[in-house]
Amino acid sequence: MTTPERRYRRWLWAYPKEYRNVHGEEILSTLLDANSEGGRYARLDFFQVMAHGTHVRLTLTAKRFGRGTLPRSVRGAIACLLVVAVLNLVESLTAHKRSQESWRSHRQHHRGVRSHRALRASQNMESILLHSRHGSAHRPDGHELCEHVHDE
Amino acid sequence: MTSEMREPTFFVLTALAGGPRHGYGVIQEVERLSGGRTKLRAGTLYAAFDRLTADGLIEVESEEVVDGRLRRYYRLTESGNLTLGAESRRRMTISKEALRRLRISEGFA
Repeated sequence: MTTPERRYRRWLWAYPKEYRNVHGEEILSTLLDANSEGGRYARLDFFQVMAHGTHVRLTLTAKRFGRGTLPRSVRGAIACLLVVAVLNLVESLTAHKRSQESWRSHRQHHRGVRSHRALRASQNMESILLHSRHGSAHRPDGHELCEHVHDE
Repeated sequence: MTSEMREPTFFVLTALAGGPRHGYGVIQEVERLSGGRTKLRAGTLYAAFDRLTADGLIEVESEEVVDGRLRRYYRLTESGNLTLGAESRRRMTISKEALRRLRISEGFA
C-alpha cells in the first residue's frame, strides 16, 4: 500500500459506513488520480472530503430520525463548525512538542506583557484619580490624558 | 432542479453530456470546459454526484477496475438531458440579451 493511498483511506473515515461501502473505493481512486501529478491541492482535498463526509453523516442522521433533511444552509453551517472543531482537536493532539513549547512560552510572555500592562493601567488610573482631586489630569509619565476633565 | 443551477453543477452535467465519465474524467473535463477556472476536487464532485443522483439527473452507467482502482462511470438520465437543455437555453437567452444590450451581438448570434 502506498503512502498516499493509506492517507486517503484514513480520510474516508469521514464518511459513514453505509456511504463508504458504496462510494469509498471510487472516491479513493478519484483522489489518487487527481493528485497523481503532485499533491499541491491535497490539503484542499482533505477539507472538502471532511466537509462532504460530515454533510453525508448529518443527512443520514436526519433521515434516520425521521425528521426529514435539514435545510442545506443549516447542514452546511453545522458541517463547517464540526470540521473546524475536529481540525482544532487534531492540531492540538498532533502538534509537535517543540512547537507546543515555543507556543507556550510565547503565550506566557504574552500573558506577562498583558499583566504588566494591566498593572500599569491600574497604576495610571490611581494616579489620575489622585491628581484629579488636585484638579490636574496629567499622567505620571508626562503624557496628557485629557485636558478638560476633572476641573473641580 | 427547482432553483437556479449553480455553475459547478452546470459544468458537471455538460461534462457528462458528451458521454459517460468517471470521477476524475469529470474533473478533467470541467477544468477543460471552464478554461482552467473551475477545478473540482473529489469532495465537491461527489457532493454534486449525490445531489444529481438524488434528483434523478444522473445515474451509474458502469464500473471497471483499472490497476486495482475502482472507476464508476456516470451518465445523464433522460431527465438530466432535458434539464441541461433547458438550463443551456436559459443561459443562452440571457447571454444574447446581454450582448444585444452591449450592442456587440454582431458575429455572436
